[in-house]
Amino acid sequence: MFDYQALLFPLFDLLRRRGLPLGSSEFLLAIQLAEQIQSKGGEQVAEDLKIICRLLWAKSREDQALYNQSFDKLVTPNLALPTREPNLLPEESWSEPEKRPTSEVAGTKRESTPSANSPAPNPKWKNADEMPFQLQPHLKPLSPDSSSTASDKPSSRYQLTPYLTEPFDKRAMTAAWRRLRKLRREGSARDLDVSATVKELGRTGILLKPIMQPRHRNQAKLLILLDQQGSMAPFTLLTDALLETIFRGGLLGHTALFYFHDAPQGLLFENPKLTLAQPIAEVLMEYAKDNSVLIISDAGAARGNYDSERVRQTQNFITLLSKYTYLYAWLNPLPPHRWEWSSAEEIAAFVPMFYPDYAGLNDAVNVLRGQPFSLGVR
Amino acid sequence: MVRTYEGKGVRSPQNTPLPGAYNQAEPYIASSDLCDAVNLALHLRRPLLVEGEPGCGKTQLAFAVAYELGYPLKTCYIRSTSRAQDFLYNYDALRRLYDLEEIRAGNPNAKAKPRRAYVHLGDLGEAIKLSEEKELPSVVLIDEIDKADIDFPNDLLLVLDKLQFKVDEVDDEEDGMRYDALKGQTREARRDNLPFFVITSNREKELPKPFLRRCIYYYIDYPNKEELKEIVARHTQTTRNRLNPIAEVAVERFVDLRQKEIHWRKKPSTSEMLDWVQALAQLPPRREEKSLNFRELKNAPLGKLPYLGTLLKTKSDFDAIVKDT
Repeated sequence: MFDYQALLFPLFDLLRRRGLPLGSSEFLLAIQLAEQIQSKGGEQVAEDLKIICRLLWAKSREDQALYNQSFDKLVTPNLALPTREPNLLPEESWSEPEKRPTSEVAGTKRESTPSANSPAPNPKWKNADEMPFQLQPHLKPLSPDSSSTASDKPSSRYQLTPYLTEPFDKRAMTAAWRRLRKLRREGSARDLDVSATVKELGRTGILLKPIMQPRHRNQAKLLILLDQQGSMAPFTLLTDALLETIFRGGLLGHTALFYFHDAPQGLLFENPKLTLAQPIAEVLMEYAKDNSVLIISDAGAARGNYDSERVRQTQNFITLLSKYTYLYAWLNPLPPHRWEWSSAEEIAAFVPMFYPDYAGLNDAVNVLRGQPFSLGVR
Repeated sequence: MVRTYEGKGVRSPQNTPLPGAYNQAEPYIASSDLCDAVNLALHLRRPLLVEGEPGCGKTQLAFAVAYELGYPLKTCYIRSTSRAQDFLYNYDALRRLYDLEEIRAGNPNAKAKPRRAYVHLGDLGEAIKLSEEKELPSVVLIDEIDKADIDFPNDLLLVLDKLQFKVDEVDDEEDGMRYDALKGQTREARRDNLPFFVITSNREKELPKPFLRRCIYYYIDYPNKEELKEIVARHTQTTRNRLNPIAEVAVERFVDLRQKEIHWRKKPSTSEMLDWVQALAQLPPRREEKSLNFRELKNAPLGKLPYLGTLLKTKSDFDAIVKDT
């Protein structure tokens, strides 16, 4: 039997480290299915393997694109090995040696695919009682992304697709934001309040009217203040991911987003190009009062200099902010060792500032939920 | 007998309908990739999570699978206030309270109904019960899971995993209401008797990791021109090469429209296209046009297509298309 564990593990490991939600059971299942496919032999072992693992492991379109790319890099070359050097495999593992998947792995055309477009199920599965599902015959030859569901055409142009790597992970971000909640009963009364009704019944001796109550709903509200342009430009990918996970995390009753440059003072802007200005006090009055406020900025750590003006402006802002709410936290896209000797270090002394990795996000959410915190660079 | 899904929109003769099967023919064409996904999910009896742009046929897939396999269909349509438990069962405490009160006030000798009389199983609960008591599998559609509260998928996890639940309100009695589709066996052993979950999502919310881990994921791509023609043919009960020329041209114009690179508020999708083709088939309704000629349809600017309102749903899309042409 071909060693699928060795073949697939690097791919699985890579996907896991990129944050795909995978457990060992998904790995074992893939191995098991791969062995079933192989024991059936046939023309399309390589392609079927790719399809099945993708179905099992990729959980979004982005995952699928990453999977396709990684499969071609990590698995396809090794999969081609046994066909080029058949001696590597014990002969008896192939019941029908002439059906060995020759050459399709290398990407050449397989004209011989039997009646690939006929509606009848592929005959090779006819007697396959222990393989109770069948893959549909595929017309396409196995080229690097022949079976990709995403419509990515092979292109000679080089395209840079940046993605977040450790320690940032969108799904972990979503999980952190999910904890930001304030459950309150709100809306129309639709659930029976059993204990209150029983109490009422005991008091009056007769059921006059059942007592209803509204359902629990998440009432957490969040105001996001995002530093824009200049030194924040390199972190667009990260700030986009943070915003996306907050909005798509979808648990918040209301989320408001305003932009500023360097330090929030005087005006906040509705537009990322810093237009549509609104007076800061009005924004805070409307959105910040007793709600959570999240500030995302490098606080001067990106340039690494100390800017006393910026510190002073930020201090004024925090003083103003604390009149409206004490639930505020600061996310700094630079790691804490870069804060030192810059304005960020001084700002971190009076605002709870965190680096948005998994632990930092959770700490930030704790602060936004009202838990006590310690100040300074940790 | 193992039933497989072929995605042709017809039930193959070996898939004899099970009792209570969903029998409404569903002219649904699935790509071979999608068939693979369905069959793998069926084989593993893991939930199939389907995403895709609105109107590309996510929900229809569940109907088509139930029809082709000859399975009963259970549907759970999610609302923003839905809780996982609502789909398992409902306990009508209020009715019971009223009944008891009535007995107390009117007829002291009457006997109260047992508690289990106030339990109403939801569709998900029914599917589990069907599997346990009658050994019947079913297709369970959980539609638009991302509409629900963020806790919903997590609350559903245990049910999807263990396929069991109990009615808490009747739990203390000797014969409590407990349902277990797995009956203490493995998923593999009971595979062909278990409910099969089709879950759709519009990606409004990111689903939790543990939930995703258990699902087979499939993204339905938007059909190309030929596939769209095939779909229209199926829905007008004809074959692809005998498609009426108006419908043929309509599909082409529809594809042109979709390819317009305007800032879409709501891009028209397959279901709108089917409505449109149907509307066109009913022409001439307007007096000033004698009848609809397929050449006219072919040459009309996009902004002047008849019944454009079936395709474009917002004023800004409408204005943009008119301006563009």
